Amino acid sequence: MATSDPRPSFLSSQYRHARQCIKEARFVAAIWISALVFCGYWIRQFGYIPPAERPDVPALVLGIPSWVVWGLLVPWLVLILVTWFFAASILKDDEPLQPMPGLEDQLSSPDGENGTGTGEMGEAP
Amino acid sequence: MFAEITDFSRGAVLVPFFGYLVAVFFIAWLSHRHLRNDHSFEDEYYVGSRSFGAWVLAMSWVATMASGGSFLGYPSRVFSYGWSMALWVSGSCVAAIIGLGVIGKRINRLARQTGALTLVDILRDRFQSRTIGIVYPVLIVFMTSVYLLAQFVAGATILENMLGMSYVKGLVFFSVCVVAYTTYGGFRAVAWTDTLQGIVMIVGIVLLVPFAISKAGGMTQATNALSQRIDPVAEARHIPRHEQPKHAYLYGPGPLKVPDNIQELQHHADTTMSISGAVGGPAENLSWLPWSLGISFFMLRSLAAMMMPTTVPRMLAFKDTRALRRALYLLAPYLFLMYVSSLIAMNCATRIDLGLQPHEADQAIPELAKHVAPWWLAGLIIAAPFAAVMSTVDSGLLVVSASIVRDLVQKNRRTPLRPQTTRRLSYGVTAGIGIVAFGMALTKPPFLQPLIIYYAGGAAASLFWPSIVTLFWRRATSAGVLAGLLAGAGCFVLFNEYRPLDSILQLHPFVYGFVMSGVCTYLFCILTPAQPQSQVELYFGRAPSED
Repeated sequence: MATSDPRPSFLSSQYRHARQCIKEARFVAAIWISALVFCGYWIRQFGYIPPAERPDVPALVLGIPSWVVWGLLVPWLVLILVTWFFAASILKDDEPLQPMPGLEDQLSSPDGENGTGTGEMGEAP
Repeated sequence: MFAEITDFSRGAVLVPFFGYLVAVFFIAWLSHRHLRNDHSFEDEYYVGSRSFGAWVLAMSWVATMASGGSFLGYPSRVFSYGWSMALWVSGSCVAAIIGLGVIGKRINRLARQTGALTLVDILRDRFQSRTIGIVYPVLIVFMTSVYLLAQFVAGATILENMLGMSYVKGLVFFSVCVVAYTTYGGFRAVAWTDTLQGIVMIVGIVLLVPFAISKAGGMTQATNALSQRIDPVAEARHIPRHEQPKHAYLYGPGPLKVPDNIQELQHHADTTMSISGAVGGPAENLSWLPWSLGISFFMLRSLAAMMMPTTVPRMLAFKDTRALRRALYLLAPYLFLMYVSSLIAMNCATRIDLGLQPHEADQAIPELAKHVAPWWLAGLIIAAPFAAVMSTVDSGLLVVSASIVRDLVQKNRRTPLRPQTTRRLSYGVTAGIGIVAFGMALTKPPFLQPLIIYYAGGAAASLFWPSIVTLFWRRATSAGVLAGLLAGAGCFVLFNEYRPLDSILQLHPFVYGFVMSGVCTYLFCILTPAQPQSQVELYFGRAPSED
């Protein structure tokens, strides 16, 4: 597969693609760590109260224990917004596909000349 | 207004359920017509000609990821452990962005450029390693087989509960249905039926919530009933009431863990004074979810969403980044609705009193549906977990089939298989795996969720780092990838079997496997010679200044 002189346009396109993907992955990793730290801390602090210290009447919000609301439900709603932001702003459209040198006949794209895709699965019947 | 469990309502419940089944088979028939077209058979059978739009990608991904575990196992645990399940499920809050946002675009592009039909193709091609091409699919086949076993049991359990048929008859019915349409229709049938199933799942579970809350007399009443609930395991262990933790079902770490032999434990409790410790260790160490274990589940549930062998093929099949972006818009709220609806609905179950014993917890969702929903809705709600199970099984069957036919057979032959042979082999292996899973499911393991967690944990522990470094790290080597695969899998199996550190720190065995896999991957990568620059550049390109 390796070739000594791949096309420069392919290499620069592949470089930009890989760099962008790594940037997107770093953003997601930061979100993951933030969610882990926040949920873990909040639930530990307010949801794992030793039995002797638990109130006789647990604090509820809309009938749900308050630590569940603030430690899980609200962060989850925020993360929905963050996911939408990621999709809208961080996730960039990919560049047009170029075949990998030595594998030109393998390029598979719904609109590509050599592709086997049909573009017919966009929506279920 | 609410359904009473009468012969009439039991029969009426079946109308929407069988309507759903008819739709599934109709879709499979439509899909099969594509297999007869002039596309490459394998491209069509295993990745649906790479033409998923946003809806198909999103629904197919979530219907595959959310299995019998999400619709039977997880609700059964909420039924068993109450609000303490909040930490357990919290990792799902990042599952959408983790599952699709990190690897989706990268895998999709590389697969199109190289003609890869599986992730294994990409790994094998990048490192030009036949060993990786054997070890990786072998791990997939092993882990996915465990997963399929759990799903077959789940499908049969639903039918057993709903139709009142024996477990074996339910298993036969379920197996014939799912193996038939998967084998017949291939990946396109799986994707289209997944879309239908994804819609059925979310509609069913969301509609259950208002009926459950209404039947319980309000959420506050439901939670108050839960706070007074007596822990059956503590009772069976003869722990005095005043020594049992207050509000155990409202706070972590929850009530005592329900052991596999709970029936035996309860039976002995009736006949002996005390058997404290009979299920291993002092009672205080058997709480359901210590915080450290809960954090393990956060990691597992989020990271496994990225590398589950059953969901990864979706990454190879969507048509462009726009489809991926729109799928993320759909999936983020979908997962919230799905898991939070189950959490709320099942926490109403104590107040409603389903009449289930601890060992019958896997039947909690179907029972709740029959108790609270009108007959016309109960059928749809019961179809939801059935759809979840079917959509996971069909994907699992195809993954194992692809691993065997594509990765293990075709890629290791000197001469390529003839198209007709490939076609017959693909059909035969898909059906054969279904038959094997059916045979294993006849033993009926006591609880589903441990099997599902075993699959997800094993996949994340062994496949995560090797796949990530292949996709994102120039310095990755085949030795590093192999070391990560074997160390992760080995460590996970060993820690799962022996749990040597549980007395010090309770973590899920996945964490040890995950860490060990990461360390070994890194060390072996930097200690072995780098790949030739020309090969690395094919996957990572070259900076303009280097030209």
